Amino acid sequence: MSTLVRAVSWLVAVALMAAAMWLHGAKPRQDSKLLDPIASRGRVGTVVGNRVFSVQVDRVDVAAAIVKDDILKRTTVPSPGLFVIVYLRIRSNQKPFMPGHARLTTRGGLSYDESGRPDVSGRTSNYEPMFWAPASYVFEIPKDRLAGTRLILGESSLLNQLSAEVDVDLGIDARKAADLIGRAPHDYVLKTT
Amino acid sequence: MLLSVVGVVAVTIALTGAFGGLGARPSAPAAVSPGATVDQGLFKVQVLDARTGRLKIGVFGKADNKLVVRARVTNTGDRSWGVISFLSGVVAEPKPGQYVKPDMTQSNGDLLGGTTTEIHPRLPVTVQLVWPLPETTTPRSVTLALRAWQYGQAFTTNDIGWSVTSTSPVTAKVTLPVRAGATS
Repeated sequence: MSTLVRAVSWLVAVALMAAAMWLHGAKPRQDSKLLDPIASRGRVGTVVGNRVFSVQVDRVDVAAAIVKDDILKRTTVPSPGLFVIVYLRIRSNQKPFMPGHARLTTRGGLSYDESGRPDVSGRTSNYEPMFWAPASYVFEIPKDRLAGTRLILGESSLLNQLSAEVDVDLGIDARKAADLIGRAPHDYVLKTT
Repeated sequence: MLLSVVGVVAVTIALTGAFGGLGARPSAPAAVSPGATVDQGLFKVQVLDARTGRLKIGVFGKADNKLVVRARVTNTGDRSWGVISFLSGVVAEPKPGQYVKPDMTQSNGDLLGGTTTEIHPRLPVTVQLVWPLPETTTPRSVTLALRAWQYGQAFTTNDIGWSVTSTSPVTAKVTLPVRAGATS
């Protein structure tokens, strides 16, 4: 009996030591969320807002390639994945406002910044209080990440701790994603009005 | 009985220590052949080829002597990183111990023939790394040192994420032949 008790206490001691070593090495990942911006959540087609600004996502388009017409030539920009183009309207609620930190989040916790293609970029400006004005963002993602995408938009300041942010569900489920991918045009032209 | 158990444990620990301990990393960078995949922590990198010549890069670029290395880069992190961030983890090593950074303004990312400045998660990008060369220099081969990105807390804030500096350890070195006289 006493041998059994001794064996069990050894096992418990080793398990506790292993747990202590694991705890010592664990990185406090959650800490970085303490000062993250404060998000208001909403859905495509509805007004989502906070004290600082409001947005309404009007339309989400998906394209396999974007074309851009210049005076002399037409440039085609194909993507190995997909372009996701989000059209929205933004209104400031207090004072002139510049949006920033725009990104598309998707399945698996992945977060995509704007596409980074010099030839195709979205369009934003300065937004004045109480006026709705248009904006657009172009993202580029792999084909299998379209379902469940959300648009996150915040203030433009570099350090945005505890600032205002909106988090808009773009309303794309698995079936709609498959449909959009199947119909994704290869000659998409960015809308400017 | 107890003494023999203690003896076995002691010998096991001693042997483990003598062979480098548990979870040991190789102390020297791995020498990797071109085309093999290197894991930098944040990026998986496949160095494809190298060429020199009087190359013109970008609309406003000059056609002067350059070394251009192509690498296929996959971002395995959970957010987008600029091509510039990737470049800060790669150096050329013309002589042992001498490191040369790639040119930040001429190096670029390429997706199906179009330029990009971002490397998005799970969307592989072909990065062209550019080093300006003196007019008469035509190296036969080039060695690239790829540094290991480290995951941890930032020095000045409580943000936790990936970073690489000029003192980060080199995780792999790739030596590849250089094709001379390239025109594009």
